[in-house]
Amino acid sequence: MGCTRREFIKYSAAMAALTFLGYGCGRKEAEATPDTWVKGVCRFCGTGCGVMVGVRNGKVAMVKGDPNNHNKGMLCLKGALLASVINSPDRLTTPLIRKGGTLVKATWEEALDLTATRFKQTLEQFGPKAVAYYGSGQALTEESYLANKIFKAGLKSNNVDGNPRLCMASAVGGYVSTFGKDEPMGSYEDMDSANCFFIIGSNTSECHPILFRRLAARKQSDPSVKIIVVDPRLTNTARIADLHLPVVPGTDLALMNAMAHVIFNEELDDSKFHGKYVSFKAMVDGKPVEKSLEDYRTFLADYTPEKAAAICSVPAESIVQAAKLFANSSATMSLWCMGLNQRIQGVWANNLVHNLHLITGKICKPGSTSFSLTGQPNACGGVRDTGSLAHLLPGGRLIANQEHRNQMEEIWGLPKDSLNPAPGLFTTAMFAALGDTVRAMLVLCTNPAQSLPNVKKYTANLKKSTKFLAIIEAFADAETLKYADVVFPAAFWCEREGVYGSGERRYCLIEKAVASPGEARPSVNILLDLATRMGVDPKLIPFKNSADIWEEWREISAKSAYNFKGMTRERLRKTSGLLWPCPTEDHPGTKIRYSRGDDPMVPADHPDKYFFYGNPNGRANVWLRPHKPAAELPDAEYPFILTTGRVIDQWHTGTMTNKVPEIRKAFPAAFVEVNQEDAKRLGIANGDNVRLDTRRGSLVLSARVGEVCRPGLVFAPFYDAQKLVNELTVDAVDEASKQPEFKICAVRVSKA
Amino acid sequence: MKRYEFELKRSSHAVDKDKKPITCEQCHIPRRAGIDYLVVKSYLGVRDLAVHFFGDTKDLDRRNMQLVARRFVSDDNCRQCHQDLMLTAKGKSISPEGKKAHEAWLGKDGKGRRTCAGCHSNMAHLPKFDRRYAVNAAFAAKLPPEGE
Amino acid sequence: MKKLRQFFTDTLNQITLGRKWLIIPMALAVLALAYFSYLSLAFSGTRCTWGQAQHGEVTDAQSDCYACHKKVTPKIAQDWNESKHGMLLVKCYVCHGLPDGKGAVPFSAKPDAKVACQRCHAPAIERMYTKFGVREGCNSCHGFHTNSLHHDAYAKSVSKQKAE
Repeated sequence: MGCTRREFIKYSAAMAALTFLGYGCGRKEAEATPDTWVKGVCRFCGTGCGVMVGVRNGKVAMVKGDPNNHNKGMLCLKGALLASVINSPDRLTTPLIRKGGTLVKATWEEALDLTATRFKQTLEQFGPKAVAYYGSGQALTEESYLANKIFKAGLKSNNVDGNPRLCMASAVGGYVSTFGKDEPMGSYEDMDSANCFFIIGSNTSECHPILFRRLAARKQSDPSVKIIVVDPRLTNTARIADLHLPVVPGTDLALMNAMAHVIFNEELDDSKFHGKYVSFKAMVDGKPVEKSLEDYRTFLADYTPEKAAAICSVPAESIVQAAKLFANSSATMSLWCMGLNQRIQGVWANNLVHNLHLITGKICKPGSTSFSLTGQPNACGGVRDTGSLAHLLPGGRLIANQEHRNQMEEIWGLPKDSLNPAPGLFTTAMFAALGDTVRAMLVLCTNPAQSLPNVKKYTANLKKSTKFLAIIEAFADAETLKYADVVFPAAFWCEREGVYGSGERRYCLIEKAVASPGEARPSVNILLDLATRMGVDPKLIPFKNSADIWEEWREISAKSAYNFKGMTRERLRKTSGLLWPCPTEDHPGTKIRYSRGDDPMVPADHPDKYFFYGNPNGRANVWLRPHKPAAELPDAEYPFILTTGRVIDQWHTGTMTNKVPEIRKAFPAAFVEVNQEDAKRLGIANGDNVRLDTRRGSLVLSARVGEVCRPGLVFAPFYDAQKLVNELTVDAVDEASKQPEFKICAVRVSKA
Repeated sequence: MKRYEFELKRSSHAVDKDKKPITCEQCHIPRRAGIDYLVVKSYLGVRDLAVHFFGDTKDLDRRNMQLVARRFVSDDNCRQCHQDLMLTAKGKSISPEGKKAHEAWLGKDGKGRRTCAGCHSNMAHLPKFDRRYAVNAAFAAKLPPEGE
Repeated sequence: MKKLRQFFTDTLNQITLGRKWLIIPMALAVLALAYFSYLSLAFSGTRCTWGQAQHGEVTDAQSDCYACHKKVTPKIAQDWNESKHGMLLVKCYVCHGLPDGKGAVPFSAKPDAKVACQRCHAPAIERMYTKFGVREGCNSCHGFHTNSLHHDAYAKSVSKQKAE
């Protein structure tokens, strides 16, 4: 028996390997791999990333990105942690009825009967104006369409509104007033070919991380790509910006007019495009009046870069540079979100972005588009397209327009002129009238007691005993539950089947993956049960499930520019989303609207390449919109500007994201960002308690001192129900879109 | 060697709490008179001479040297001035993050068995590639941008 | 060098072939070597105990990992901050979990690539599998933190940085 050198080395190696193995023992085994993967859409923001839900033993075990959807398998941190939300123990499992001040468990029969009786009584006593529905951009398309039909056609009440009023009503106003039809003309694919990005009023990196990834990847692949970020905060988005313009909040109208001024002055405009496809318009005494190019140039003469620089407090050279980058690139894409929408000049600001694209001809071409980002997963598909707002009817029709009403009456099989001709109450008006002229309200899938502006004013109404509030909700700790009289437990996300429509007109089917806990039911069935009990004509609601509703809505869409007749349930099941217009079952979907050859709504033999069919003259409108200041400007008493927003971890009111232990721990409480110079002056150190006072209330938050906010600006997120920054925000609304100005209010900052 | 002296003079370790200059061997040569002292002193002496006469001082791979920095700075030397790890050498309280990290190192709740220089590798010297760290910003500002 | 090796081989061969009873001290020596190498690996100053990572108590106020770690472990924090994951704000806890272990993601200083990467990079993992036949160990080629998107590292690969 011998031990050679070779063997010696072998033994040593084996021993060394064993010692290394010792390290591996303590490591946790990999998570159990799921049995099946079910296709769906992420429950969070309006990006609408495709997800694959991994199911094991009837439970969601894991969520990963859908490789076939636009996100190419990528997910942001919220999406990656989605499984904790659906597995949360804080779910509602039985209906609740308020008895003697507290919510107690009830049977479905009791809850449905009580709600239907109260709605019927209210209708008999006060008429259809006294009932209201408050929907959500998170409800399925089928749910929103059904609720809209029940209230507008069944109960003849136009008090149908939803939280998209707080979120993207101004974007709707902007698209409709400029192009005649709602929804962006481009798609996310434009990001891969754009050479210049104009990001204004959007913290894309935190609010739409997957789109930011695409944008950053574009920048990485081609360093000549320029990114302009206009944001009063130095956000994470600004990290990849070539030019960051920290304008004073509320002054971007002057900025964009000045950019248009520079574009004409430097002859960077595309006269061939705007001569052929654009008509200039202005509002005179509340009526649109045709203007000429000369009128527009005279109007712009007032907005020199120097003058705008003084208003916005950014260097005039930067404005000139931004305009040149915008106009000189081969393809420019604009992205904006709540920074433009949640403002009293929201629609105007939207118009001005479209103006920049129309005068430079950078629109309806690959990479050239003006693209409004959306905050909720189904605000576009569910609420905008189905017309579930107080002034709309499905397919972009208006209630105030008799022709549109008659079309819908014919489609829905109603007698002529039977629809209520008066537009209903928009969100803040609806909640202001609650308990007074509005007596019974149904809330679906949203949390208004936290998300409304100047929220104390409206929670006072929610407390009134003269109102009846029924809500359909999935989580037991939503703020609005405190004021509800009846609560229906709803099936959440992939516990039922339905369609979500994301920001790029992409419709995608969420398939049912798991069963809902306890007695929770799909909202569609709750709405159908309620409607039947309220005595809505059964012919109006001949549905059994969401697939039936989709079939009807798909057929109806063919009679409007929102044509997606080709998106059958079967097709949606097979694909990871399709972009409308999609008129036939073999149509691949539309990437660019208004362009001959791309958009099936433009006739193939149309004489011009571009056709803005939404407007009667086939041209897009360039609006002459003067600069207008915010509703509440800082003064000696309230010298700071308060702006609100989101952080990447938390989503909206935090009802869902707070179910994820990681996120709850990372962002447990709201904070306020203060500029370091301001902090020095006020003697505030990082982590100190800071008191914010506005004309509506006050709040103490812990401070984060840094260079994120520009001097004179403070920022607070709105996800924390305990420290509700919406108690401070102003509820002034845009004249046209009725969207409140969450983004700007005057505030006093002091050390607590 | 000049480069290291240059960096040392601008670092937080240029002078001790009594404003007396700190010299190289105060950190780099073990304090205890014993076998450590002998070995290190003779090894470093021979190596320095070798590098001085035959080597290229510009060729030093600082990135890899940093990984083994702990071999060249004995903890005992550090603890001569920093007896209480919850205080700075001047007797002021350190940051909450620092307290947490030192608590973990002292074995109150972690199992860290690094040496002082294992974490604090840029106390007296700061190579270019480490100047981007936020914690080194104050030190980096004192060094010329081009000099390594 | 060659001579030295030859000398060692020769002596070793002589000893083992000549006197078989030497196997016992030989085995003891191997065991001792293993023991010492174990000790040096387990308690060396170079490595923190990443196998069974331990972490101090974290209060809610201190819970944003990056805020503390940019001071405590500046290199790792900065690497993350400058990497693609940092740019896109894929935060620490998405892969590493919570230090108290109460999170949905298991706490580990070295996350399991099979689970952590698969959430977003499933298509890439499949691509790697068809190309190289490996599904695991993403980290050995693609450093988790040092896959940079921007800053200095934007144009430079990690290997080039090392030459700096």
